[in-house]
Amino acid sequence: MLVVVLMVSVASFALLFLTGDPTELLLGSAADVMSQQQIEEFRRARGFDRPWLVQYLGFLTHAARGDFGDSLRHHRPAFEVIWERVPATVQLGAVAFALSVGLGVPLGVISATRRGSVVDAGAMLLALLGQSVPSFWLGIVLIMIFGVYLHLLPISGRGTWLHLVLPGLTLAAFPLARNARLTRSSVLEVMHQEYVRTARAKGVPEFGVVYRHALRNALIPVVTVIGLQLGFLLGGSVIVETIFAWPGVGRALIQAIGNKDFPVVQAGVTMLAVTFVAVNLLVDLLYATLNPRIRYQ
Amino acid sequence: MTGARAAGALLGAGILALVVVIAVGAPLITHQSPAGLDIKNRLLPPVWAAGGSAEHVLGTDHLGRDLLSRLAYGARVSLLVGVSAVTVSGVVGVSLGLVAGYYGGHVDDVIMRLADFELAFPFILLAIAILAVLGPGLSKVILVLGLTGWAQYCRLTRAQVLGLRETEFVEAARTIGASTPRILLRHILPNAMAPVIVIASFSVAGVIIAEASLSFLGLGIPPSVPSWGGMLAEGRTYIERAWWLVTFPGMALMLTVLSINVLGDAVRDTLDPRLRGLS
Amino acid sequence: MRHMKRSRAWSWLKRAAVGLMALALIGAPSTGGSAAPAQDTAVILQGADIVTLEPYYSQSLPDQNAIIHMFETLTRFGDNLQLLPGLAESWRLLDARTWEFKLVAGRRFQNGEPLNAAAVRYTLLRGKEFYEKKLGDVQYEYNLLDLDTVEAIDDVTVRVRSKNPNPLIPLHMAHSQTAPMPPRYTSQTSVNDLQRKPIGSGPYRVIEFVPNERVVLETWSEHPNRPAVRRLLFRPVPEDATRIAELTAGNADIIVNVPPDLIPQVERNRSARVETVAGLRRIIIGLRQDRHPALRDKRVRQALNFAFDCRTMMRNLLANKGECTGTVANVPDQNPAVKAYPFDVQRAAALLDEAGWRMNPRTNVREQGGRALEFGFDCPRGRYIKDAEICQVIASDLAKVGVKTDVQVFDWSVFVGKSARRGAGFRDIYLIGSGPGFECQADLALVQKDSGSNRSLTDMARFEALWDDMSVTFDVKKRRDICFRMQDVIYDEAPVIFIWFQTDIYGVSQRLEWKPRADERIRLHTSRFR
Repeated sequence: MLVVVLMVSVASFALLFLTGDPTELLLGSAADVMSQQQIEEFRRARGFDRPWLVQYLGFLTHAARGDFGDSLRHHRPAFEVIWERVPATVQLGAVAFALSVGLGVPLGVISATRRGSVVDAGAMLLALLGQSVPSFWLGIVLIMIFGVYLHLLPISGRGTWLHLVLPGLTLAAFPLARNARLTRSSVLEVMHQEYVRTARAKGVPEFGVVYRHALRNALIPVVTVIGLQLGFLLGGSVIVETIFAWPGVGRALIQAIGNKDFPVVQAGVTMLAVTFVAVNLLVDLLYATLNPRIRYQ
Repeated sequence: MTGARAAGALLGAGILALVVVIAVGAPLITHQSPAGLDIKNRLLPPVWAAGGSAEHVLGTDHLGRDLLSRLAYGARVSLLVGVSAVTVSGVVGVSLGLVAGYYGGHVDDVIMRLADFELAFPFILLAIAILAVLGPGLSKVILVLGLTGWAQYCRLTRAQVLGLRETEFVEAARTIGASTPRILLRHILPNAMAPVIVIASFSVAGVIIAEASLSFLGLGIPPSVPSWGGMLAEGRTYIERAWWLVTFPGMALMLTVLSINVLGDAVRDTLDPRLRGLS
Repeated sequence: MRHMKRSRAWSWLKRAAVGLMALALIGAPSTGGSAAPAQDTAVILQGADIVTLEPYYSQSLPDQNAIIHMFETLTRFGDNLQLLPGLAESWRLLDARTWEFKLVAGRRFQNGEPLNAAAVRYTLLRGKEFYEKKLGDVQYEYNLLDLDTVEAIDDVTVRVRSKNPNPLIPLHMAHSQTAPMPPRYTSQTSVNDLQRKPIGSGPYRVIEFVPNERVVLETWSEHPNRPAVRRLLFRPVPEDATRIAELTAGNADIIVNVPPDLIPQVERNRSARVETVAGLRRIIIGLRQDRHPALRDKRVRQALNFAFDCRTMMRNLLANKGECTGTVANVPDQNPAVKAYPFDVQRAAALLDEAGWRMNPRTNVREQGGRALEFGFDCPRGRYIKDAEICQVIASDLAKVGVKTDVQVFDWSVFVGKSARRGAGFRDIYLIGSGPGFECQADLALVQKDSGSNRSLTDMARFEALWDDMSVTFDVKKRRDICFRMQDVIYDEAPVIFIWFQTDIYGVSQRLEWKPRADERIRLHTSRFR
């Protein structure tokens, strides 16, 4: 597990390095009035001229102690810059996750059990909409309707619980649609398998058939996908954060990448990797509860 | 497949075929060039609205380019990006997943670590880095989108394989003495494919939208090359002022996604022998 | 772990769920962010976060807009960008390298410390130390200041000596990085705290700083010129459409960077209006003279200017919110006789023919000696108003006279990398903006052969001769003459494709009286609610 975090850290450092060092970006317009020699001095003073491996090892020894160095842009600990955005990110992610699972999975189950009905068609139409509109478009439309025309909800920023509604919905749309569809297809498939037919033949009531025998197994691929989504929700919500001015980690990471703010990028990427590993553990646990038949080596 | 299902699949295939035809036959549909800038005629509404012109049936965008031709040529790019990227991710992911699930042990560990790495690595960083180093361009965008999607197929396939590995018919095949590749390809793969196909059909749409997200962040295909994703990204500030800029690409996207979904269902049904003949 | 029993797994899961919920609740959002602004608070939405309030650590515009309310400087730029007294009521040149400033008496900092010459000295020497140790973000300003010593003669008299004669010192004293800071507080406060709670002498002080969310400033009762607007709330909103939505919904008072296309949307709303100001940022297409041989020929460069239909672009793409230009000098140093290049396709074609670049009818691209007239065109996105679009429009115009370009659009961070080392990463031509120099010679440094901001490596003999002349001329009228003549040369030599001076477009709520400034600063000292 630590291996993964390490791999991510090395790779991101290397890739960022490939695109050039941050000297000119940091200097901004100052570079125009400085001589080449002065710029080199600046580069040397900050240590950007050392080979990347040396820089990385230097970073690693500090990181092991929890010190990611100071942000080049914010002039305070890079770890702080990322950590202070975690609560906002978790809130948004949690809301979107809850919506996408809490609405998506039941929707899929209902569609499967009432296959071919109006409910099924309606739900699948919603799912279609959810997966074919880009989040930035949906976000702007929701802002227009609920924020400007109807004046019902706050538009951007963070403040009350109401501020979470629009960004949460926007972020949840795609995973919700995906969960609904996947659950539906998975449940359908499982419902026709042997042991379900056996249970029916035995006279087990429909409710029991669906919810005890079928659902557990149907949920396995769904859980896999949900587990993957958490990574997306936490790190890939840049677009929602940009549209709604939500102070999350995603946007901080993008800005840091854009500013070549190595310490913050490292802090952010590492934090995301660690989170992801933790989520993996949860997903494994969930597997174990759903299907004890699955044996690991 | 029953009549209703077959009809649905036919409709799906039909729509998709239409999209492909439009994509391929773009130059025949419209004489306008998708790149032809004409800022004197920017943001013209479609021909049926006030101020519209027969020259530009679906109106023009913020640089005066004809929307219909951008839509048609954009079909090419979007389909190409969608299908190529998903194919790349799918082939890589499923193969690795099969191997990891069936063999287990060290092989499984290594492959899973790689998958974890791919999933943990922020997509945006990879996109920015690759595009910054290699420069912008269609092929690089496909590369980026392909490289960032394989892990989900890998894990999904592996999970399915783990469940199938111990079932009776696989045991039976093993006792007969069937070779491993045969077992994998003939017995396990078809049964594992169902969720993979559903995810893949989702992913084509997802990839097209991911390309829109890259455009939103300024990382996508060069602006002169039309793509539905790019059109959605560029048009987003004009939602109130010029609704046609996002409505038509959006509808095109939705129809394409719908048809791929329906087709995906049909393919899954055909592959899964147990569902044949059921309504 | 993998052989865990089901019940154990369940209990772990429950614990994890609780943990996650706890994490989410820890950061429960504060209730201080309701949508509609309070009666006495002006809400300002900017495109980026405020990162720091300490002037030495920032040059970014969002930070500056808060900083200029909290700090005061010895001199300042008025609304028409004329140099006015600030904390210094007068100044004079003592000798070639020394300027003497007389401070207003009896002023104090917000924490009570006296604002005297000693405090000014402390501040400037601190800046010099930062510069020498390469701390903070003071490279630009303190490089220009080039300080030698600072003396406090008495409580109100400061003498600033630079290493070389520098007529622009009073100008530099208007920069926020020379704003006096209270010595005792500043030296005793940690770097971290200074970023969030610095103390100045301005009419506002910070009462709330939630990183990445908002900064709230409130008037300080003891300031001699207390502003009418009691509170200022700054929020970052990166997306254009969202900012406009907030304005039209009545949740904001000032928003920045309204895209020209969306002006009607704002104006349609009776509770908001659009305010524009002719900016000082020059937007040009640089033409590298060390790559494609064609660009070394003056006729080709002139042809490019004739081929570009600037007025149509200004009218259609930029909603007529600016003017085409033929110079790179800012007001008031602009030579009135130099107008923008007229749009003249025939003339462009004739010049290109004359320069030997003939049209190849098969490819519709001009050629000479087997080489095509084709340029790599590098363009940033989202940095300047409609930058990517302007590039595409120009590319289209050039194509019509047989000049082919390959436009590539880059994210700003990548683009900056290319622009470094005098544009080493650019291909043949590139779009770029350049801020004002606040003085003719500084403005024209853009095309001077040794200047760091000259990314095209232009070298115009006649211009350089005039430049050397100007460097030794101190008479103001003579300098102006030379300045005008230099602009004539620049027009003729066409080292760039001239575009415009970017107009800044703001959205303002009708309840606020406020006018924008050409230096992009949002200043509310004299604003009030209606």
